[in-house]
Amino acid sequence: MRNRDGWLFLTPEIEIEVPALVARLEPSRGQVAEADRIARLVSHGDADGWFAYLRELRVLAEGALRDGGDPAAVERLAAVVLEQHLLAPGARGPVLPQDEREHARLVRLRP
Amino acid sequence: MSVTDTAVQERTLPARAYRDPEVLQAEQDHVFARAWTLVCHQSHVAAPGAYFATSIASEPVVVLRGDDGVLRALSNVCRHRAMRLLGGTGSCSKVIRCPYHGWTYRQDGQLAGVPEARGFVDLDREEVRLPQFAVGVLGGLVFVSLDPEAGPLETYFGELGERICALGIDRLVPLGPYEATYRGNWKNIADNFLEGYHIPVGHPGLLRLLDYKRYLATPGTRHTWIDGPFRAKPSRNWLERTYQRLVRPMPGFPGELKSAWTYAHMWPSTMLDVYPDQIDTWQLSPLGVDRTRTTGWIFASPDEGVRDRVVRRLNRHINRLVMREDDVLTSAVQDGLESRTYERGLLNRNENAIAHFHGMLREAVPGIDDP
Repeated sequence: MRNRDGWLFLTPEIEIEVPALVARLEPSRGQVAEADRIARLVSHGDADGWFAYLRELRVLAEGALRDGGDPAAVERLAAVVLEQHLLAPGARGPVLPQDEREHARLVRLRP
Repeated sequence: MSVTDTAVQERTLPARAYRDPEVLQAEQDHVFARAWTLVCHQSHVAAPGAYFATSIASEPVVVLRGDDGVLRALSNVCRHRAMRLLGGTGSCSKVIRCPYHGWTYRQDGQLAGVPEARGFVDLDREEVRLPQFAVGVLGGLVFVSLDPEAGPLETYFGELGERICALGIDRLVPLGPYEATYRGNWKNIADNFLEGYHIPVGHPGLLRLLDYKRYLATPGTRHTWIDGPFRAKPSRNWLERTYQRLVRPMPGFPGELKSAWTYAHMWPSTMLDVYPDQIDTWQLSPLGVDRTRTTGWIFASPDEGVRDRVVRRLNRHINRLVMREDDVLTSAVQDGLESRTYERGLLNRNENAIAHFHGMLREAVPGIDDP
């Protein structure tokens, strides 16, 4: 395994679940466009880009909760992204970005 | 075959099944000796007199095209002193002669001549013949079964039979065989082939090439079919990106598979890797509880040009890494299966083909599920 690819093991659950959740919380983004964006990150991205995207999802979830968005979708999105932070320390290769504040904010989004 | 006990289905076979010599012997008797086993490509035994020698469940077998045009599978053991008659592949014109004392058999297995025959008191040469086994050809691949009750080859693998015929392997050229020995029980290696759940961790590079969320294993009658569709986006990796750009299907390759890497498991231990640019088969043969020999063939188009050869080389580079990664994983799993504290594991939904495979083993091998 190429060590710099270690972060890719995180991507499947995001690819499978996030496009529909984002479309539910922010319909203007569109499910297909979001899936396309994630696919581009997987094909061409790197670990920094991936974690930047995860932060963006956390911001989206916080905003949706504040604006009265679907709480079930917020909860699920937070759970999926939180799982990324739980799995990331186990990745091989270069240390992935760790951010305890991100972790804590995601925990707060869950009931 | 069906699996009825869902409570058992969700768990793997016990670790003992991967390390107990008695289980391996039972598998030889109840699985390998009863199944249809891939032996060679039809081109190996196309000409009169052409033969291909192999071993199935420790039984020496030779597949031979007679001068009469009939394809036969015969015991490859001389009835005199158990000498193996033919080795490897080649041509024997008219008769098979034992290399030890010269007993000579017709191509249908009947004993024809015996040196110094008068030196035997009770030899009735009419009664001596090489036992014959069932042989058949499916989509250009030659299979043999030691079991006369195995049923017809055409329907043995269910709907996979038609799919294999549609691949056009009969028109392709075999390259090989490629043999390797791996540390690991044969089921451990088969398990690894059958599930894609380990791809994100074990082969992260494959995630750029294959669309994991559409990676799907579909179990069927004595087989599992696995779809691994390509991603639409080009990979960041130069090797993978060049492969994506240059790959084109071989002439006559099924259109619905041209944008995918597709895999098939054929009960019990034959694997197919169906790439648009080539088709690989590999066979697992247990050498012991923790050692397995793989015998692989590559099937390529007879009309391939420079571009096709480049694509196949790229394919080989990508898959060599995957194989190395798998070797590390299955070897480490075999270590774990020796543990005193591990008994058996839970199966994820994406490991449905392992559940199917283990279900077939539970039906075939008495006591295999005993802890």
